[in-house]
Amino acid sequence: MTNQVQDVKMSDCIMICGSNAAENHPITFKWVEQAMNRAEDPAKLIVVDPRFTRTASKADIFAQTRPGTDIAFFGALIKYAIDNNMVNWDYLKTYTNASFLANPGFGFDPKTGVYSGFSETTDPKTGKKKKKYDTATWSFQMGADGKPLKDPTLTNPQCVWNQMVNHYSRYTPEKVEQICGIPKAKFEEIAKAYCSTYENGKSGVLMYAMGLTQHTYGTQNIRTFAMLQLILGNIGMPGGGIDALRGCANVQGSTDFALLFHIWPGYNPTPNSAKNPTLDAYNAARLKAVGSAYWSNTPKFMASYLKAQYGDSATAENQFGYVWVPRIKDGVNYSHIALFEAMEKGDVKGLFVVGQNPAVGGPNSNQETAAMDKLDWMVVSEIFNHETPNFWRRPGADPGKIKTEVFLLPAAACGEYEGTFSNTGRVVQWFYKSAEPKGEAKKDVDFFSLLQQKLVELYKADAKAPNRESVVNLYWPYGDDVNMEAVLAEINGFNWATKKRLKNFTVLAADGSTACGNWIMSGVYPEEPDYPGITDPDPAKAAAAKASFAKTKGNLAKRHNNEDTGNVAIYPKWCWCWPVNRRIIYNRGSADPAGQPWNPKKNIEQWNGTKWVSVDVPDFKATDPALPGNPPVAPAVSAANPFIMLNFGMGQLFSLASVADGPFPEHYEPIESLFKNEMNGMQNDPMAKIFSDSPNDKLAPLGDKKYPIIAGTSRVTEHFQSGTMTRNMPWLVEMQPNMFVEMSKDLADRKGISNGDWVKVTSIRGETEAVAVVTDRIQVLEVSGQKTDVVNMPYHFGYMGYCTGGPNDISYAANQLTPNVGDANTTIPESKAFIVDIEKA
Amino acid sequence: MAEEKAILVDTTKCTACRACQVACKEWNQNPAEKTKNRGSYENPPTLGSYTWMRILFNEYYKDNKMSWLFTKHQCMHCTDAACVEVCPPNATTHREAKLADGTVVKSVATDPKLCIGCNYCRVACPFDVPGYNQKKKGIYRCTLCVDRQTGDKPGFTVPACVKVCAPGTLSYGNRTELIAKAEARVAQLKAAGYTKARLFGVKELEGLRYMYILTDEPSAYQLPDNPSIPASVKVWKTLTKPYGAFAAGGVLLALILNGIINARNRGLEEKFKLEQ
Repeated sequence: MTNQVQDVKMSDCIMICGSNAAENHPITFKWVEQAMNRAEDPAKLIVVDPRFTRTASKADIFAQTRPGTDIAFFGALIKYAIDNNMVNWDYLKTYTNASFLANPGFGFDPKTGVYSGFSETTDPKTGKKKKKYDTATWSFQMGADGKPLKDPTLTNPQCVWNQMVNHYSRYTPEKVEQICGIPKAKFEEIAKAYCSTYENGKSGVLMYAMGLTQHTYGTQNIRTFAMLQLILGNIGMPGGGIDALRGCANVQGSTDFALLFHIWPGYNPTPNSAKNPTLDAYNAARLKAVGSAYWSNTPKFMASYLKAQYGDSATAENQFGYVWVPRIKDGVNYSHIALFEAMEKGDVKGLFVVGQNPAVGGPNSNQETAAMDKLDWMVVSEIFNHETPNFWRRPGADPGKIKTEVFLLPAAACGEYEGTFSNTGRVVQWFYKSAEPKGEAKKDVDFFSLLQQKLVELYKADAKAPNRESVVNLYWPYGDDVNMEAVLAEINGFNWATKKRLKNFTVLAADGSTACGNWIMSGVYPEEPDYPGITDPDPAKAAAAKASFAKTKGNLAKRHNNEDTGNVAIYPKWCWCWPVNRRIIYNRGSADPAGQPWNPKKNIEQWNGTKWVSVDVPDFKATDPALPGNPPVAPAVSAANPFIMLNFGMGQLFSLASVADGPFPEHYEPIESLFKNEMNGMQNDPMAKIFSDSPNDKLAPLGDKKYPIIAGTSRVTEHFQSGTMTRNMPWLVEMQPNMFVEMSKDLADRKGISNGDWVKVTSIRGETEAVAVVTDRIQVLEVSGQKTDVVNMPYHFGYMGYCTGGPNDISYAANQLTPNVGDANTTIPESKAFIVDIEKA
Repeated sequence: MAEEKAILVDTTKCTACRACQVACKEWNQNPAEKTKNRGSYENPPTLGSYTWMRILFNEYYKDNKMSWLFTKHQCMHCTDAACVEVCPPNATTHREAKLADGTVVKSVATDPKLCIGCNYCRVACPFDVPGYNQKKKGIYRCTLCVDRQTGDKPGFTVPACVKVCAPGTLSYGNRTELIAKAEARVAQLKAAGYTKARLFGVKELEGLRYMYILTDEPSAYQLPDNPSIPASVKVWKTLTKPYGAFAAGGVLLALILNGIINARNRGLEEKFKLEQ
């Protein structure tokens, strides 16, 4: 989230697309309702979704849309804002790259559906087609001073603004009706309500989840909305921003700590062994790629991270052990889908599964279980015995032919250990242990700590072991029962010589004198009490801040003061928020170029004529730390650099080459679709990641008559993810006992299906059975003049546990039906739009 | 008269997350029932001796507009309670517990030791609530969490369902204050265009301990538009009950009949389970 959860109550209009917030984020939805039930100027709630959900039941405006058509819809909102002059011009001209001149070679051709620089080649060996963009023209015209040329009048046809106006001129309400199935009048009702937040002082927010991201153009879905938010002036505003509702309690934390393959902790890209052979080369490439002066700090973040990784072994001479950390081989994808494809080919021999159930939750789960058959060994650490460690006895498998050795270890459950959760709004919150783990159960970190100690012992004994230094040099002094607060100290960062914890990342050094496990988390656990409040001129407030600091011994994630300083839902003393306790990122956007808040009731940063008065921690240069006494910096300076971490310090209407499938998002069809792309000449996102090596990687061709129904997967309040925990909880199973599929009454009639019947749902990859929930909450859509059926299934069920989802000895996992195709940028699987057929079981 | 406690259900805020339904089972340690999806999210299918509250899902599709209304369904603890009126052995009675703040909790409860299992209360209840348990031989229902309110269990005060309600649908407090709050909310809803907005439960059956803010007729929420005690119950009350001695003889008779009634009840209790 750019903002935090509680901030939603400051909003004037909340649009929820591709998220079922009320069901899957019930606590976040509480703040949506607070905004809607405000006595003065209550907020409007708009819900756009393929079905009428419990979230939609609370909406002022609901529109049913065809899965996978969000860019057509958002692009039309951009056009609507432009056509109706619903633009925050001051914001747009000053804070975004609207006035920058794009490279004259840049362009998009609606006939071919691709941007400039596209090429398609065929591999003579495999016969496979390879699509590629040369992104040289996805750039700005540069002046002699190394800065982009600009046209502040926005009249030059090459400027980003006019390029964008031209690009979205095709995105008419008629196209929305034709592609999404949203009637024109309904679209206009939504557009008018949402775009009215362009007015000074109003703010609108988008809340989204996997309904927007799990597409081959998921990144572009979000980017389209980010562009709309910049046009309306909603980024940086209380009640504005883009709010990702993360899928589980600490998934924000796991992303911050690089659970994904393409980043290191703190979102530094994983080094590429060919492109970044040395640390210096990496640092230089990073600065060049982002093009913001801020990233000249990269060497400090990197050296401190490596120091935390390798301790005394990390020295300036050996680049702090840079080459010991595994790096990406050029051109290789290590995402979840790619790993399981490599496993099926026999390239991956062993697998650790901790807190995940890919036999149910993985995309194309039949492919994933087939891949597990090829493993030598699998280690699963879990609180319940679920489908993945039992993949060898899944319905239809022959255990006698599977040689994989499986080790199942008992994990401690949440509540049996302490640590931090980072919530969806980046707030890092300490949680406490309330019970001892049962039997031999261990917290995950203890399991890995024991494993690390054993590996170090084995590697030390073997002088010829490959990558020996990577293992034996690790700095990990935490023993068998890891003290989580000691780990938090390492994450926060400390001075290597004195071991004193650091204030925050501004004091990190590039010379190896500081260690810091994750720079964005630096400041969560400082040694010295110098966070805001301690230096308050009011002695009472300063004393209270000191007392608070003493109470948590500096661990700011333990703070529980819910005082709403400034009455703008900032709550600066509630736990701690990365970075540097900043609750709203890009918050320079909350004030006009002269430093006055767009709305006095949403005042978080204000220039009082001599200095900045801040409720939130400024995300811009408010004072100059380089000068003695840290004098205030006038608003004009930050107005010229409001997005300090982004390219040229500006909000990016035009994304340069940082997004693989184009600087402006364009509508493409899902890989499996019933419809031809009506917006341009290219059917699918040309950069989509399509996997085809496994026999299970089947894709239904365009408009396949055997699969005439559009399907998507989803979740319900009563179950969580792959159901590992919730399907073993009788009180929850009682409420949602069976796998089900929601469908329209019209479709059920045509198929001879009655409400409550068991039906079989089939895609080209697999099938499962489900109870038909026949409902008015899904209507037949009219798309391109054609009646179109949409159905939806939860993906919580499987074949193990107290509840599997049904009475038969089959797998009730919906993901047996979903394809191994991924987003062009992140490779997240396309689970939200594929095609199926349904018949009575 | 001492101020009494009540619970206000603002259905406009309910998202049917059903945390209340689980909290009720958890606090009262009621076991899960074996259920199946019958084409709806709603489950278990009825209230019963192990399910003292549940959320009803009411779908309406009119003029191309969908609405999904959610009702929290449990014993309403009526002031004029049919179940109390009809109970032959006076097992079901009005209870009153005094709280430390000087207010009282008024509720309706059945003493399982006195219950003869006649199930008249189940037939008479205008809200279709009481659940008979064959094993435990008695009628069970929402207790209003009196055990929490009175502080018998240290650290707990607010009823379990209210405690877990995230969207703010449920509020617990002094009845007169809740009514004032509800009336203000109804006025806000009317101003926002909900012309049928109303407060249900203030006058109905001389006052329910659960009051509801609705935006449509009660029947849209599966609540009776005009809840009343069946005429037959009134007849029973005025004619039969005053004859105490006769009633005592009736109890004896009832005890003899108990076996027969119990045999029938076995069928009633297990009815929906047999349907599985």
